Amino acid sequence: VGIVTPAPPRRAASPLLVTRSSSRTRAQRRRRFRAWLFVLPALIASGGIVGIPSLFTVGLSFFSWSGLGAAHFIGFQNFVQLFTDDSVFVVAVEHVLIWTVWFLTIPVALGLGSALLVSRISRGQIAYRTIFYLPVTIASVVVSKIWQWLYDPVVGVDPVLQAHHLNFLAPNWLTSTHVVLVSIMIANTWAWWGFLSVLFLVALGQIDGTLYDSAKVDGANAWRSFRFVTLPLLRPTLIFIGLLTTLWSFITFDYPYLMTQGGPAHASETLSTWMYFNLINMSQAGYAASIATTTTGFLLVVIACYVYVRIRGWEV
Amino acid sequence: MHVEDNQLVVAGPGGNPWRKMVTRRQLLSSAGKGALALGAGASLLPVLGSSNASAGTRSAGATGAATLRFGIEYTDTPDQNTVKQYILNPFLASHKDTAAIDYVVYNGASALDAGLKLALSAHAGPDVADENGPSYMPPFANAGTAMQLDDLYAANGWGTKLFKFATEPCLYKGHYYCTPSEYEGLHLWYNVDMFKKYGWQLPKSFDDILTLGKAVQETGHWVFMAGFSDCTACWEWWNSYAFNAQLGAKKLRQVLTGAVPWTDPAVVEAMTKLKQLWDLAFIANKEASAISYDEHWALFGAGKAAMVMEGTWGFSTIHEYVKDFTFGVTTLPMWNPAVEQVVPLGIGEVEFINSATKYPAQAKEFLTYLTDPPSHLAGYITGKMISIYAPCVYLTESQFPPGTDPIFVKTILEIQGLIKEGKFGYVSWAFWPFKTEAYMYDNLSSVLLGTLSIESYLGQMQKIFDSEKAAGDLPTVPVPNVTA
Repeated sequence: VGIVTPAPPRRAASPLLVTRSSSRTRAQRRRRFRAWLFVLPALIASGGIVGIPSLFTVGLSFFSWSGLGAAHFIGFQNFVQLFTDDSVFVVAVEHVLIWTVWFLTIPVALGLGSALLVSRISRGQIAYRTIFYLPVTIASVVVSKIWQWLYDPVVGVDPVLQAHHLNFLAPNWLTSTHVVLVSIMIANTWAWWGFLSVLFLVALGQIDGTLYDSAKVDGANAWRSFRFVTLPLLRPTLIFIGLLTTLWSFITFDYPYLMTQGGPAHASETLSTWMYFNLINMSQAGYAASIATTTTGFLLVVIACYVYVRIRGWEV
Repeated sequence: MHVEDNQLVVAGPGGNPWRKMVTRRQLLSSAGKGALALGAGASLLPVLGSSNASAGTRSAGATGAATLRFGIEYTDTPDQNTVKQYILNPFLASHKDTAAIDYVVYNGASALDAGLKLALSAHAGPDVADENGPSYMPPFANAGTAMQLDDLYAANGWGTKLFKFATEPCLYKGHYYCTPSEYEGLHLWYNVDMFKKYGWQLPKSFDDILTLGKAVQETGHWVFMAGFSDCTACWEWWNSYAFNAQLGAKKLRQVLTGAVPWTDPAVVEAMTKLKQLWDLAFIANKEASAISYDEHWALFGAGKAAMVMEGTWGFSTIHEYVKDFTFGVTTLPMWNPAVEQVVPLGIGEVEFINSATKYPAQAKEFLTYLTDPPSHLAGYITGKMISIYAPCVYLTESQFPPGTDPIFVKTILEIQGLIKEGKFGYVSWAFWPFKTEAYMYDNLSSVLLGTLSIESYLGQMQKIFDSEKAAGDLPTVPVPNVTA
């Protein structure tokens, strides 16, 4: 009591250790430098190809520009028009939100469900994986055409269903403003869920089997094993898929454009198809840039949430 | 083949909107404005679709001679080969200072426009190029990226030699910037056998259409076949028909020049009648959004519908699909008994020279060869270049070789007769300012499906039209010779 013992130094101050520490620091710096050196070409390419044009796009959204000739600075006018006088933009935002919710649930549930089923079998798993993944390898142009045929009012499934008095299952897939977006999402889901299934299969394969044995010893049934072992360990995969799906949903273009070009009556319009129309059909490059910038703004919020999750360590 | 100067009086608009819908883009980077183009492009262009440039023609072997780059939108090899056979190779054979002509292929009309804008803003791009019609030229003219062609017009007498209706829209702010390379008209195509079988008569008025349509539906057939799933812009065919049929050429011209507003009761009436046809399921049984362009011809060929409302470019497709019955082509009935019969005409393709070309002399020679009728007349009158290049000059029946589809010959001669008399109307892709046009076709389905009122639709069109008029972007609209 009363005696104050000085805390020992964390490191001995021997000249030998200093030298070792310095050389280690230098080695670390060299390693870091070399690492940056290897990454540098990719950084330059990325900055040149993605970074600079992105900045130009943000800048362009403050200009009136047809795509040719001189651009005129108009301040926030494009954004004012976008948020106050563009009903199609509002519709497009609604559609990408619906699209996001759909793809965060239906394909994820399909992918996870199928992965859980297939992970339990040892023989033929590769075959299942291949079959599930096959649609992913088909170009969206081809998938769109296949589904257009299926939805065709003359040669598709509708006439067959109607012939069997199943009209309620034949809702005018591509012509009804109430159904067309769902029709496109179904087509895209068919091409996408297999990818998620394979991702989940890989993630499931990395879970230590002894954890399930322990859970079993503790009396956990199948549901509790899934709830308290599988799901927590799939969290990094789920978060990654969630981020990917959200980003991709906000910029989705190919299926809506290929199947309906955003129509009819803008019922399948997305932010990207609307941007495309303004850029190409209306020659309003500045306005299209403002749509692109706004979309990026939405996505930055999503990315910020992801970064927050990572900082909080919830991912792992 | 023979073409008489001063024989040509007037000609109509034209433009093949089907070919407009295909897309392509070309990325060319360079300094200055190119950086801006690339800057916008990198984030915006990923959605433009792919572009490709493929080598085209053979080399003439003339050392040191120019190699011209020719921007086109027809992607089919047979079409490219036909153009090579009838135009490019003969040109190279007779012009030794041009060694070769390479195709720069843009995948369709939208891609053509987008790709040209990007390339030319970077002072690059093809030396000579197609565009989708004269209404697409003002941005190039304003930016100085399209060469003025006044000297060529004067030297070749195109102002009088070619259809005036086709050359006038190329005149922008006092200068010519393009040449018309084809023209086309909207017509009524019908199943002759079906009409005979059921004893139907061709419609001559809107009431006739209503009566005939109900009769057709009672037989279980569709009235008009249409397919726009892969061509949103093709909705404008019906806009064009409705406005011409209800307003007549004279009043429609007043609307197109800003003398009468788009909100005029006559325009409202046109849209109301068009919506009536839609509500009655006369247009593809309300399924046009789910049917593609090719499929609509296939379904017509299968006898699913009695009629098709479409342009003369259909001659290049219809024989592939209609094999089991005789088809007919006739003028579209006017909806308003007070207006004169006209054929909505348009120019769907124009040619122009890139101001930044390294070979202005050779480019001018090539454009002249491309525009002047003798160079490609043979390909046209044999039916091989119907929807690619159509000489904007009068032809006589004897000029068509034996064996040419007689309906094609009859239709072309009828159109030429109407052009000569000045009885032509206007299609939207040639005589509307382009933003007004784009808004019009993009929102027609909203009107037809009831999510947008006719009044709001026309009000917004007027708003866009006013801004384009203020910017001086209205195309020249030739004067027809009609009383109403």
